[in-house]
Amino acid sequence: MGVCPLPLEWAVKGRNGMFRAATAFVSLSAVAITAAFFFSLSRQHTDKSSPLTPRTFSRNDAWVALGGKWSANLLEIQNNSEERGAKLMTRLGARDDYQIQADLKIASPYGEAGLIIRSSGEEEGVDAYHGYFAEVRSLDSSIEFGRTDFGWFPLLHKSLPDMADGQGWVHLRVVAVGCRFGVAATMPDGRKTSSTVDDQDCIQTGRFGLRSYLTSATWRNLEVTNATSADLSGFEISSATPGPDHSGLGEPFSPDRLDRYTASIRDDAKKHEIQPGVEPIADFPLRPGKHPNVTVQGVVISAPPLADIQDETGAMIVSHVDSSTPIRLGDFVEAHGTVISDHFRSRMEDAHMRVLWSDTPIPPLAVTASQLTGGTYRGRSIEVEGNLISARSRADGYELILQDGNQYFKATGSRDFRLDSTDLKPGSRLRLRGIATSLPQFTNDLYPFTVVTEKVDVLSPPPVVVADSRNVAHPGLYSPVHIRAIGPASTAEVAYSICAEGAGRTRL
Amino acid sequence: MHLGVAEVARAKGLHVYWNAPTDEGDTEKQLRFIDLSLTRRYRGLIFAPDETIASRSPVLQALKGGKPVVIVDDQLGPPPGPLLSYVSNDEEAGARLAADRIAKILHGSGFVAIIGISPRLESGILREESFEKALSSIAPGVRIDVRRYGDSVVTHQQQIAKDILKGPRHINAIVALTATATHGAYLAKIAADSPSAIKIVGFDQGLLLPIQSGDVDSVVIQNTRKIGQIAMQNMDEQLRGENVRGLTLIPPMLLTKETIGAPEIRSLWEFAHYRWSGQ
Repeated sequence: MGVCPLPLEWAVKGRNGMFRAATAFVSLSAVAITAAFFFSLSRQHTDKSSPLTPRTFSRNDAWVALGGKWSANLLEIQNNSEERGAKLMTRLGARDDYQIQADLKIASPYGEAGLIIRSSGEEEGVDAYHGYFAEVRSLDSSIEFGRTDFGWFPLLHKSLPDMADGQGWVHLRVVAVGCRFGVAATMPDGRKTSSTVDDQDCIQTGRFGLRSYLTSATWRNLEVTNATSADLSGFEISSATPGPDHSGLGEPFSPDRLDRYTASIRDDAKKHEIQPGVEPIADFPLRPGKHPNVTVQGVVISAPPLADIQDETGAMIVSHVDSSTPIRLGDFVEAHGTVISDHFRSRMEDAHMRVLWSDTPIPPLAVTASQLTGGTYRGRSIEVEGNLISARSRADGYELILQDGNQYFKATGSRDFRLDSTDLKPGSRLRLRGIATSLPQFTNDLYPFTVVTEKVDVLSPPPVVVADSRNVAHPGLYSPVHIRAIGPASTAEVAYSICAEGAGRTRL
Repeated sequence: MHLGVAEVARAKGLHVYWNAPTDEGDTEKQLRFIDLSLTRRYRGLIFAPDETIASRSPVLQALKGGKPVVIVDDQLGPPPGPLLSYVSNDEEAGARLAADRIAKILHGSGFVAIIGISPRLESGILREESFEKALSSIAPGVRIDVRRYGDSVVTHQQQIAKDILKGPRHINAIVALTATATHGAYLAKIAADSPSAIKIVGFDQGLLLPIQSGDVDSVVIQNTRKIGQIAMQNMDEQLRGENVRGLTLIPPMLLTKETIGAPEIRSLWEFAHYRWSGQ
């Protein structure tokens, strides 16, 4: 879980609270780099004439992820998990009257996704926040709006227009003015469902965010602007609250819709069926040579660039994964291709992969750095600890140098909304989860292995008494400055090295 | 359960912090929530474990700190006492409901597969053993031919059920011991290339749609509202140093197409109309 640099209690209070929060943060903190960045965002945000832009939303440091597997680019924000309520909350502060809108697409036929408005007190957990949530529900092709106080209370439920299944792109707009809320969903063909609802004793202020429930989902064209009562014109007026037939998990369906929903679920269920002819991964290292037309199944324990799948017998690297098939950690996949086995290693080339199901955690093996040098655990899902020597950002992620005992090793990873770079201080004790590889393209033949990380936890901060850097016993060969001079990959990196900058703080 | 806990807490003037991991079965995160509750100095803990053994240490830690604990739906191990009580679904009664139903829909003879066996929870083991015992007593002509473990991944459970549907053994009914396994069995049935006559009897609350459509014959559901109410009543009394019953068992109900509108079952859905603010 990431930690918001803005103190929460400051961020949720009062009108224009976000501007004041940032200012307060500056005055309270000596960490100038981070503070300056948020200050610049807040200036943009309080300017009513300039809505927040896609460029703002694509930045990792614009959000805090609470559950989920989030990623973003200039066009879209995605959550690739089927958890019960993954949230992505803005780091910007609270606002009172405003509107948020986006196109959104739900992947599962029985999932829900939408927009959070006026939220505070967010934590990881199913309904763990105070605020409002407007969602599109694919199960019964509807929109729902309600209030969450660590429990869900629906205020409004409406069906989408006939024959709209809720699984294509839907434009969702939520307006909050005083204690009146407007919710509208527009289909790609222009048909629209909208309504207003009042919530007495409403939550007056809070942040915005994205949330999905039991489904992966994608948001694009996200826009947040101020709102007045004029923005509520055009919404249908509704005084109806959800009836008992539209509630939560247990909702009897009207007979006319029953067959349609069953058909939708049936179509999705068929996608996940497994075909026969699967071979165990451990069979191949002992059979050197080229094996065409092989099918294996396993859990993705490392995503590209080092895609790795593991079954009950072993693990196998999959090269040249077709980029049209998005795979992610925890996916249970079927891979079909040619297996090349040599040096008691096997890899699959030109693989066609199919995701059978998701969210299958592989319990990692806890190992030491010394054990990883032996190769026994290579390619397996592992956890290893080390003291952070240095950290730096790259265009596509981050790179860490760690020490455990007498072993120095490298770790790489892609940008992660949950990783708070300010926690990565030299001397911190870290626990890494991922896979270890000794392939030269990852180690540059300098390190015994490199950990391609899935997750980084800070176990403890640096010791209070800071050792003289001259007494830190690590060979100059491994220093970040030295490494930066090696290899073409380093030249494209935008680096903030602890040792080089001497700022005493890492920025990824 | 949340509804039962919240309505009693509100009546007693107690505030509730309620949370659960977004990943079902994420024991590590669930135990982190316990740590959090200890750090925040909440006065008591009502806890429904995902795993029996893994949960013992954090619960003992809470008890050591003098914090009252009510364990829901699991036999954790430590005996009940002034600070510890148990409130559970009556697994033996639920097993009898399922066995009765199987006996009825198979007319006393046939072959059954059990899926969703959960050895990580003592209540899961009790449920499975109770069902086997009840079935052999109620319907000796019905034989259990297949047994499969469960997990929290619906699609995996779908695959297990599909293997049973397509397997060499002729199975007349699947008994799915968890909500996830019930969901998986339902998906396998409706995804089958040809309509399957296999009956599905499930456990624990899930979607109503399969019951309405008839693809799932019935589900043994827990009276979660009552469980929550008793758990909160126990907590209130334990906080005041009063003696409470060490173990309270709450009888489950059988959800079928016919009972879907019964008042006692509909009362479970009222959580959707409860205002949680200020809980």
